[in-house]
Formats: sequence, C-alpha cells, structure tokens
Amino acid sequence: MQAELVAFREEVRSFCREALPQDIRRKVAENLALERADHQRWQKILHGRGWMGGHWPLAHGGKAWKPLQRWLFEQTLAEEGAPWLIPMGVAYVGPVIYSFGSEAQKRRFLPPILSADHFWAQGYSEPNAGSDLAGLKTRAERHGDHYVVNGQKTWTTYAQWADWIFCLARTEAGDRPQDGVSFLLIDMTSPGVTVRPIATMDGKHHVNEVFFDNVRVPAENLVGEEGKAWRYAKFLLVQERLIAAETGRIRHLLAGLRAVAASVQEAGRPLGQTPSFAARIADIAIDLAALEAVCARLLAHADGDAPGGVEVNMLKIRSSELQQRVTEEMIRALGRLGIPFDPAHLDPGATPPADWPRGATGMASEFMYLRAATIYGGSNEIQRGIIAKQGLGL
Amino acid sequence: MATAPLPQNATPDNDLGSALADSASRLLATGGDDATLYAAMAEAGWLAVAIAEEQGGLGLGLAQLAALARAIGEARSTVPVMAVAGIALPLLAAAQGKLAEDLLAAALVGEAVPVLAHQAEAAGHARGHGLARLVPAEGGLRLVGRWVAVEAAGFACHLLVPARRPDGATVIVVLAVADAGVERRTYRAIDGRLLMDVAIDAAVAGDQCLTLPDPDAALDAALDRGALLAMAEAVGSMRVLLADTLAYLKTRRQFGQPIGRFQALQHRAVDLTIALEEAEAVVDAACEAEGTADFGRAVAVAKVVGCRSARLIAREAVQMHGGIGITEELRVSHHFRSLTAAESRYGDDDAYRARFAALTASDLPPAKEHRA
Repeated sequence: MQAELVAFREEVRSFCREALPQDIRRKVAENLALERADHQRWQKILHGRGWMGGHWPLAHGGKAWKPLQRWLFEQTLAEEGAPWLIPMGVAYVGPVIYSFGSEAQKRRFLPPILSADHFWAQGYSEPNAGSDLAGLKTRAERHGDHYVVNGQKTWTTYAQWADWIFCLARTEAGDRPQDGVSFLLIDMTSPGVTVRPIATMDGKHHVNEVFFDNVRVPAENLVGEEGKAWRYAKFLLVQERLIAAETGRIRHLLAGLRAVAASVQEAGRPLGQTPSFAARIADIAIDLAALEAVCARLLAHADGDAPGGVEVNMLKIRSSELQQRVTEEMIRALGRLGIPFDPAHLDPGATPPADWPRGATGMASEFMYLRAATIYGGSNEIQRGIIAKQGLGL
Repeated sequence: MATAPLPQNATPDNDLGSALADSASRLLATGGDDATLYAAMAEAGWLAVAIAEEQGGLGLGLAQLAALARAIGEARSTVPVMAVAGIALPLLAAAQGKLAEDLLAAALVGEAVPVLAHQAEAAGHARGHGLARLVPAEGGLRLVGRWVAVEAAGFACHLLVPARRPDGATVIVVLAVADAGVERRTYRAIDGRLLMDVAIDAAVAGDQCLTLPDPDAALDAALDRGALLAMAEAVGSMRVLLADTLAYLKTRRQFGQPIGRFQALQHRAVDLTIALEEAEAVVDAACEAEGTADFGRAVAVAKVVGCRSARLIAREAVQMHGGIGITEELRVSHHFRSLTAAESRYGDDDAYRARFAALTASDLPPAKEHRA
C-alpha cells in the first residue's frame, strides 16, 4: 500500500481514539441501542475534521477520495469501534443529488447531509416489491406544481429518525416495469406521511413501514428526469454494495468474538483455547483476510468512482455471510450460559450481571439482526442472479 | 399470515400413548401460563411417562416422551416439563433409598419439582469437569460451588447437584432451593425459557446424597436424555419451520411467479426436507437405543445431526422468508430462536462430536508400527 494511505489510516485511527466519545464507544462495543443523537454527535465530530463525505467531489464539500481511501477510512472507523456511518444520506442520496440533481437541490440538500443536520431514509422496498424492486406500486401523480404520492414502503431503516426520504414512485405506466419510475425527495413532516415501527427479533428498532396518503410533494423535489429513476437507482445500488463489504465491521465483530472466547470457560480453560473453536475462529480470520484482499485489489484498480462490475456483488455475498459466521460463533460461546437474552439489557442504563461476558445481550441481538445481512440491500439470491446473468452471461 | 398445517404425527401404538398425544395437542393449544400448564401436564401423566410402572410411572419409555417433546417444540412452549420428566425423575428412579423414593413420588404428582444442576461453572459443555468438591467441615461435609444455566427456574424446588466426595467419588446431592446457603439468579434465555444460576455454600449430611450403583453412568445417561429431548423439541420446531417455508415458497410472488418456481430455491427446499428427515430419524433411533450400550453413541449422533439440521432449517427458513422472517410478527423468528437455544442445550455438537469420537475410539484399527 502507498505510504500516504498507510499514514492516512493511522491518522484516522488516532483521531478515533481521541475524538470518539466514551459513552458512544461503549454502546458500540457492547452492541447496545444507539440513538439518533449518538450518530449525529459522532458525525458532527467527523464533519468538524472534514471527513464527512470524504469521497464526495471537492466542489460539494468532499475531499475527492478514491475508493481505496474511502474503504480504508470506513474500515478503520469500524475497527476502532465508531458507530456505523448511516449511509442513506452521505453514501446514497448525496451522490445521486450531486450527480443528477438540480443546482438548487445541491445547494439545499448537500450541506445538511455533511453536517448531519438532516437524516435520510430510503424509500425503496414495498410489501410486494422486495427482491423484485421493479414491481413497486407507490404512485406519484402530477397536479400542477406538485406530485401527489400514495402508497407504502417497508423495511425502511431509521425512518423514525429521518427528516427526509428519497422514494421510488411510479409516475406513468411504462412498457417495462422499470420504466415510468421517478426519484422523489419527500419531507417526512409532510401531512399524510405515517411511520410505523416493525418489531424484529433482535429487540432493537431498525426498520419501519412508511405510508403515504395523498402526500403533496413539490415538483422541484423530483431528481433528474421524470420516469428515469431506474438509472439513478442502479447507480445508488452500486454505492450500497460497495459499502456492503463492511470489512471494518467484521474486524470489530471478530475482536468481540475473540473476547468472548477468552472469557467463556470450557473444561476450566478459555473456550478460545479448545482446538475446534480455535480452528473456526482461524477460519473466519482467514476468510476475512481473503475478503480484504479482494477488496483491496478491486479498489486499487478503481481510479475514479466506485467500481461497477459484478465484483461488488461478490463482495456483498462474502461479507454478509462472514458477518453472520462471526456472530454464530459468539452464540456458540454464549451457549454455555444458555444464551441470555433480555431486550431490556440493550438499554445503555441496564446492568446485566457482572460475571456475564461483556456485551453478551448485544451479541445475541447482533446475531439475530445480522440474519438480515443476507437479505437487505438485494438478497444474496438476487446478487448471485446478477452475477450469473451480467457477469457470466448465463 | 396463514400458518401451514403440519404433517400428522404417527399414531401411537397403544391406548395410553394415544391418550397422551391427545392431551398434548389439547393442553398445548389452550395456552395458559407455564405453571398452569405444568400442573395440567402432571395431571395428564406426562411426568410419569418414562418411569417404570413398579415405581409409579406409566412405563412408556423415552420414545413416548420424545413424542411429547416434539409437540412442545411445535407449540414452542417454555414449560420445563422435560427437565423434570426426562432428566431429574429417571435419575431419581435409578437411585435406591427413601430420599429418592419420596422425592420421586412427590414429583410424579406435581408436588415437588426436582431439577438437575447439569453444568458446573467453568465446565462449559465438558462433562465431569469442574464438579464442585464436598469439603470436610465442622460436623460433616460442605458443598461449595456455582452452577449455570439450570433449567426450570421458577419451578424447581429441589436441586440434584453432582459433586465429588473427598475420596474422589461422584455423588449427587439433593438440596431444597429454599435451603440456607442456596442462592439463585433467574434470567431469560433467547428461546424465552427461564434459567437460573445457582451458587451454593451449604452443609450436606450423608443422607442427602442419592444412592446410585454407578453415579457417573447415571449422570451420563441423564445428560444424554437431556440432549436427546432437546433435539426432540427441536424436531418440533423444524417441522413448523419447514411447513411454513414450503407454504411461503408457494404463495409469495416475485418476478411474476411464486418464488418456489425458482430452481435455486427448490433445491434448497429439498435439502431442508432431507435435513428434517435425518433429524427425525436420528432422534427416533436414539430413543430406541435407550438402555442399551449404544445409547451414548446414538445420542451423540442425534445431537450432531440434529444441530446440523436445526441450523440449516432455522437459517434457511428466515432467509427464504426474507425480511418478514426476522420480524416478531411471524412464528418463523420465534422458532429460529428456539432452535438457536436447542443447539447448545446439554452440550453443543462440538461436545457430542468429541463424545462420539471418545466412545468409538476402540473402533479405530490399531496404529501401524512405525518402521525406521
């Protein structure tokens, strides 16, 4: 790796060690529930350092990082125990707006993304349009200088925190299901927008249903051309999958696994010292090294924007499976305690028994939440289909 | 969302058996809290199933108990009836003397609830490790130690605690949970079961130990039954998950067709079906091996294969349901949690793989002499 990238990574590392607030660090380390205010505080700290949207162009407040540098940045953040950089604003809609939006949209929406004053949600999936996204039914009808939006989105991550949502909505019937879909920016405080939480088995509040009932959206909030959203959505999906390599997150999880394997006892010695368990941890670490090697090679060759080939789909498959494997081993370790799980212990104020491994409840929660890693962002079945069709020509 | 009908259980081949099966579906359908359900199960004879008739039981054996365990798994009930009927009571039945007889008799009518403290702190899944020592103390012996993940929290009134005498022999001490020097901490496990950690620092009189011809073998058999019944419950969950998943594959439409039309999913659904078939077969085979020299090996097979099937079916059921599979709304996530817990109950597959290897070590051909 080039010396300046190594230096950059160390700079990020020492910044995290100094600037990441202790209370937030603890919540991440123990997989406790974070609030919007925690994410916002940390993102503002990064913004103060000039590192929010480092991969954005200079003209829009970024640092024009190339993909390799961006990957190292996000990997180091996660490895150092910083909160996940919620991607909907800075990684998804931001690049769509600066690539396809109007000048007015750029002026209005980009600065509050970088300053973390606006939180965004992604209005894509619908009850009958999940893997088959083009089957979406939400409609936007033009009435003078407004669209009137009706429909329902689902699996909407952090809609409960969002100030804005970017939505795919059908503006006309097209020959193909992908035609006639438009990309709209909708104020979550608009009359007719309702957010309903979805309870998931991990005990935290991640996802929601979002209902649109005659929601009036100013026509100026249309991004790009009417009916051309599929092009922007595909651009965005590539961004989403690049993030999905999540190697820093896996490093962080792996450190947690090693800690729990050192703390849980088997036959009077640390579980991590038993050969079968040690071998599985080693297998995970080896597969992580392979994933990082694939990432580094792919990104080193990507000069400008994110690489757009099916390699990113491969990253998503491998990464999501690896994230699951790490937490599966955590659960195996915690099996010696019968796997304690009380969602009340996910509250940072809770005091679980001091003799339990640190963050035991959070590990169980993470294990359950990460079952979704092979489902969200395009399920792994969809990813394999894309690779087979587009990559292999089958 | 509609839940899929399950295939019918095989009809038990005796009247008592079919009466029990009826009571299982009737009781588990009524819901009610665990205490009410436990009392009703005791009334219906569940606790007596695996106890010989001459000891006041029904003498129906482990296979009949496993059928009930499967029904518990299907209903995802957290009633700790198997910890008593399948583990503690047969252990008492194997013992001689008034202590065991009285406790067994009281337990059979639901008046006492004994439970085995099966896992000493720091032992993990390694059997026989970390057993607390009975230490000589003023006026007799003292039991000092900690046990983790003990089942039937909130129910148990007696603890059967394996320990070592000063001479190194294994004994099983009977303590009342209300005794001085017994401290419990109750917590909820991922499958909703209430477990407890127990710390003991108590004087033990000689007549508080069970009289067993071979305490180590009795303890091994008790743990084996625990592992087997955990897998029988797991089979119940696996059946529900497979049925729900197959129904979902037929009804959920994407890309203009039921997702079950996609060959990639068809093949995986077939693998799940094979996995369930295997899990059912190895559990049945282990039940049949009860009381034979093969029981330990058969249970090890049941646990290793059962865990493999449980993992595959639990994870694939969620994956094939997609996002809805991780929600609380569907029972898919509930059974996923049950199977997650079942894998480690009474030892995980690592432990039983090692046990199988140890039990079959004599099957290995003798090593060839190394010639220089």
